[in-house]
Amino acid sequence: MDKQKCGEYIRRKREARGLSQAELAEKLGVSTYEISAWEAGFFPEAEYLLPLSAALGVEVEELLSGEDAADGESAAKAVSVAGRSAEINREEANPEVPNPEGPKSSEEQAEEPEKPEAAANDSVSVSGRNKSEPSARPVKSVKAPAEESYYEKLHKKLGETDWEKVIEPPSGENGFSDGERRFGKILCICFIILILILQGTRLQSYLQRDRELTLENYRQYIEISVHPAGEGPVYTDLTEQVLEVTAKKEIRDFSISVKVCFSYTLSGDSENTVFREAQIREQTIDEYTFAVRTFFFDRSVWNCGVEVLSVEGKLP
Amino acid sequence: MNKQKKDRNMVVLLCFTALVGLANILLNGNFELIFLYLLFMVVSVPTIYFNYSLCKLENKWHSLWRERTPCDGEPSVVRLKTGKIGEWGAFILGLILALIPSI
Repeated sequence: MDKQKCGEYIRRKREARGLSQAELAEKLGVSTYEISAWEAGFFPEAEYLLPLSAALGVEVEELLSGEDAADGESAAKAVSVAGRSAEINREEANPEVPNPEGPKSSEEQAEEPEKPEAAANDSVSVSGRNKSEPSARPVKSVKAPAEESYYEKLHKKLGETDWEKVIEPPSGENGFSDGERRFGKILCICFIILILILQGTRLQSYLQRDRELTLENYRQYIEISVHPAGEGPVYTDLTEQVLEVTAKKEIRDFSISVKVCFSYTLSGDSENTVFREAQIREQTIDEYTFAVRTFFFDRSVWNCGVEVLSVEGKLP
Repeated sequence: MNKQKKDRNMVVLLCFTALVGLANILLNGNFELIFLYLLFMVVSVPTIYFNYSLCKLENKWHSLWRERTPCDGEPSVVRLKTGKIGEWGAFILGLILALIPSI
């Protein structure tokens, strides 16, 4: 077995099929390196012979021999036919001369008496003689067709195998399955609807927002506190009181009028209570900006309360 | 409508959904979420579509790195499904991120 010849044969057959090394490698489940090694003369392993022969459309014997079986078979047939015709010519010339190949076996001797019978029923003419001509010579009996060889049976079986199923095609492709599309559509549509609902409610609350400060809604937008002046957790001077107005949102043209009740005692009895009014006006109060008014007393103030008399302002 | 058209429409829908989520984040003013949200969407949407190619590439690389005779890299059904689950999960996480400012 000539390995170089086999490698050349594989390459020729691959190219005849229009396959690249990569394509053939993918079909057989091997690497491109293996294919190039086979074609360079390193004969494939036994497990790849059958799939390779199926992929190239040749027989295993052809792979092993490195040539097409048709050429070999025709050559073999020509040899056998030539040999047979030579044998027949020899028998015609000298029918009594013993066979130069040697003494016949007992089977062949037993066949001889059958020859005249076979000649009567003979319908095969090896040298192509006319059947109507009276045959003076005994005609050889036709041998029964030989049993199929192992390889012939194997090739028959291979021919019946659907290699497209054995060598599986790619399992998938990019994209989406039907179920995925359905799931994706439901998910996306639900999300978009949810977003629209949330933004819709937000828009609605924005459109229905308060435009002006009133006595009913001022608590949402401002904080009013009264505390002694000074810093720290413990106020030392209680004679100075500070009124603070803190905005939670931006307010324009802000105006507030408050009445503060200060008490010199903790109980807050009316005898020791004074009232002070304050008005605060600011053009714009931003978030956390506060307006301050300070009240001075001659005595310490222990208790206080605030009453908003009026409030005005424009909200953004 | 053939498969390619259907797939293209699906990708367009996914991209539109991602844009809606981004718009929601911007309208609510939560700009700190934008980076994370974009990361989730930019990764999940293409990988959902190219799941098969990515799995095959991963297999091929893995076998090239570890095996003497690398195989064709065809991913198994399990690998494909786990990939899809992960990618859809990332997409859903992104959508939840987009919903957070509104809640």
